[in-house]
Amino acid sequence: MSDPRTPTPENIPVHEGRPSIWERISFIWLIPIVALVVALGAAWNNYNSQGPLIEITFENAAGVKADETELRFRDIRVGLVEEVGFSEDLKQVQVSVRVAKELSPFIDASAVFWIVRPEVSAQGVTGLDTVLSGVYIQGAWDGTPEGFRTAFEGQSNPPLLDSGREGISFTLRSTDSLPTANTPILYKGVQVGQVAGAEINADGSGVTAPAVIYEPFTQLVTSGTRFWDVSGFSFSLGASGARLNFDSFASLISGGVTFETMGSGGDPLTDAAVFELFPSEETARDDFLVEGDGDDSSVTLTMIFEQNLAGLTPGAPVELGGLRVGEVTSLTGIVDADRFGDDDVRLLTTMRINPSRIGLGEEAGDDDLLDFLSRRVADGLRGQLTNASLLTGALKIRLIDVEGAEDATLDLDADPYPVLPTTEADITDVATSAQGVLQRVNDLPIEEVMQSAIGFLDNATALVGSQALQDAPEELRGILSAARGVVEGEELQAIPGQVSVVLRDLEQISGKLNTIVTEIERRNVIDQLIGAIASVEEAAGGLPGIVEQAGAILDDAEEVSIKTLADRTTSLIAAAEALIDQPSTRALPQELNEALEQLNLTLAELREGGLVNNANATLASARDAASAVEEATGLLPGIAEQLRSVANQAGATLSTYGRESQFSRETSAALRQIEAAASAIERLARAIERNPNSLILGR
Amino acid sequence: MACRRCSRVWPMGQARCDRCGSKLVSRDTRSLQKVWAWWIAGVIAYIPANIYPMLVTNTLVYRSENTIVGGAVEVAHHGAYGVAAIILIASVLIPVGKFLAIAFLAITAQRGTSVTPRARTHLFEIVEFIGRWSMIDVFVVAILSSLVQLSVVASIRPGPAALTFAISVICTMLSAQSFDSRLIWDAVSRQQPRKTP
Repeated sequence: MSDPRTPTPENIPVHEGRPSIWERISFIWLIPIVALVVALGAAWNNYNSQGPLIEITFENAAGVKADETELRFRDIRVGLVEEVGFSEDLKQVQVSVRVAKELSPFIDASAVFWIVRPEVSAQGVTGLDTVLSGVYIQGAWDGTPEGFRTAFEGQSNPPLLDSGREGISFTLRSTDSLPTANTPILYKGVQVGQVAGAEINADGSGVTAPAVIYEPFTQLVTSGTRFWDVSGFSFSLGASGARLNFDSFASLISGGVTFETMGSGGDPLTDAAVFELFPSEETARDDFLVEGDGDDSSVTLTMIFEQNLAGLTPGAPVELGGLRVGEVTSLTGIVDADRFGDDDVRLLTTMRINPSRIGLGEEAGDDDLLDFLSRRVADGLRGQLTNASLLTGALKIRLIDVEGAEDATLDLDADPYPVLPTTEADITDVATSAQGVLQRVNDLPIEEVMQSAIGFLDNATALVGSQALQDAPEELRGILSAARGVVEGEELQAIPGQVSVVLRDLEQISGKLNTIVTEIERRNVIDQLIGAIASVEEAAGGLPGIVEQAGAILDDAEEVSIKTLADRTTSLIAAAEALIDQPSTRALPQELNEALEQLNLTLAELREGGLVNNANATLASARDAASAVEEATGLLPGIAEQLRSVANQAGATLSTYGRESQFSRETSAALRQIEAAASAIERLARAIERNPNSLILGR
Repeated sequence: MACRRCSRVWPMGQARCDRCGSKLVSRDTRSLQKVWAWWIAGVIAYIPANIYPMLVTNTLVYRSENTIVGGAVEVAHHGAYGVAAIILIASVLIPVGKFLAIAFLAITAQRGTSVTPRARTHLFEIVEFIGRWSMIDVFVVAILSSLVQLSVVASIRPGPAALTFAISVICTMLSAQSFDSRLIWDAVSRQQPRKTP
């Protein structure tokens, strides 16, 4: 546009309008503005929704990766690890986690973090999902915002109280060992708490483990509670026999801790509480007996024993009258030449005694117990070492009254604890006793016994092997064949035949006798005889009176003098004379004579009728038969006796020979048969003797 | 002057094209404004496209998010330098080059330059031609995410960068299209009278 006056026609003027600024600016500018707004809005929104960054330090952060590992709360993702680094001294891993903004106020001092990894233990498998997804960081915090914090110390183990579980945590202590982490605390088989991993004390004297009791079970635990281990099983062999203890198979495998509140009262469970874990229920109960419900009223005493004996250990019982009243807490040696006068090592024993166990009452304090002990010591109470167990050789301390003890007092001023006087130990040395027993066994004349036994056996062998004994079976067989000969002999076989002949004769005789008897009855002979006898009795009726009188006189005669006796006798004779003088008396012989005459007549009649002759003949033949029977019967016992003697002989021989062989069995069977035959014969003989009628009458 | 729609040439002063009826302007006075507006929007969209992950790969045990450059670096780490180069060229070099080229053209259209208009026109043609290939990344993501969908075992999803990258590419294409190439030559016509008198 150097020269406006000479415009070239090709030069088409370019219209460059000057419209207002709104017309010049295209609406297209809205697009970048919108884009900018959207981008800024997105950026701001992103920044605004971004939660704060917290830093957690872990000893070991295996598996934690930046931008991958999640932070979870109640298993829901609430954050992401942004960075994994090290602390300044490189001793710890520092994990930066971006947490969700809305949760950040709750991440306060109460928050705990731990890394969840797959874990396989006796309690089961946990964190299985992390096998595929990788580990994650679990956080737990309460529901009250108390000021956001950004730096945290990560836990190496999950906390006992997960988020959402209420409970009271306390400490379990043991000088021995504690169960593994996550061991359940069981109460009557129900899990009411958990034990965390144990840690060794700073001084190495024991282990402690945090434990927790969940709500609402915390009220079950007081200061009177004792915990003990029920893991595995225990086998004990003691005076009461063998015992195998295990609570349940579950606890056998996974372990467990249980407890019991052994005394009423006691202080409720607090966070600071420390409980001892006992290895068994027995020890827990023993401890409760000594310690009571934890009011710590026990009194500490010391005793100094002259002998330094092995076997006494801390925890050994202290007994008074058989009752456990305390326990030994520690043992040391003591050398004090000034005090004891020599350089011997003595046993300084420290023990605790619970006043309430002695019976001084619940309220009894130290002074009450010391007063009591002072009085008793003055009466002769002394401490004595004695055997607690013969098997293990453990010792215990017994407080006993010693008769005629030297005077001693309870030294209340001794340092550090009062000193109770002691007496000589009463220890049965098991080893010595056992040795004595063995010595006696050793002294037994075993060799002599063996020698004589051998001699006896030799003799026995010789006897058995002797020719005489070898021949015994032969002889026995001879005896048996003889016995068989007797039994099978014709005489014996004939006996039954003879007997039956005799019996037949007797039957005939008895038939004849019956006819005779009926004949006699028919002729009233008996009635007449009875009548005669009755008249004789009548006549004799007066006689008893005289006899009684005579008895009376004789009685008197014993009492009165001979003179009066004579008088009385005279009077009696007079009375007798008077009686005899009576006509009736004189007539008595007459009547008797008549009766006899009548009898004679009757008999004469009978004789005349030939009846008597018949009867006589019958009776004579009967007598013959009976004597024949008797003869036969007389033979029977003889036979039986013979048989028995044979049997006895055989039996005697057999019994020396032995019982086992076939031969002896057969023989004894034969003998039994012989005996049976003998006894049958004997029975027959006896029956005939006892009751000949049965032979006669066939009954 | 030529109609921008049907390219018929009309004498000056003609308001509308008789053939197609579109409005006739000798120069699009707002052309550069449009160029810059789309250019800025493209640049804005390009920033998150590089910050956010382009590809989210989920497998059963593994989840990875790759940005464009991160992905290229990772591929290069595995030794596939050719693939890495393609990714870098398609996703970084070309878009950035386009931004620079368009910005250069727009600035030189206003201020003038020593570069010949012929060269600048050639550059503009290259930008126009290449623009359509800029979507190669987006296509790759789209194809992968539709192909690799094995439920829980493995899946590939497009990340937020895929969307913004696509927006950025669209914006740059629009920006390039908005540029009135005649402006390159206007400067020549303005300069020539000065030189020739």
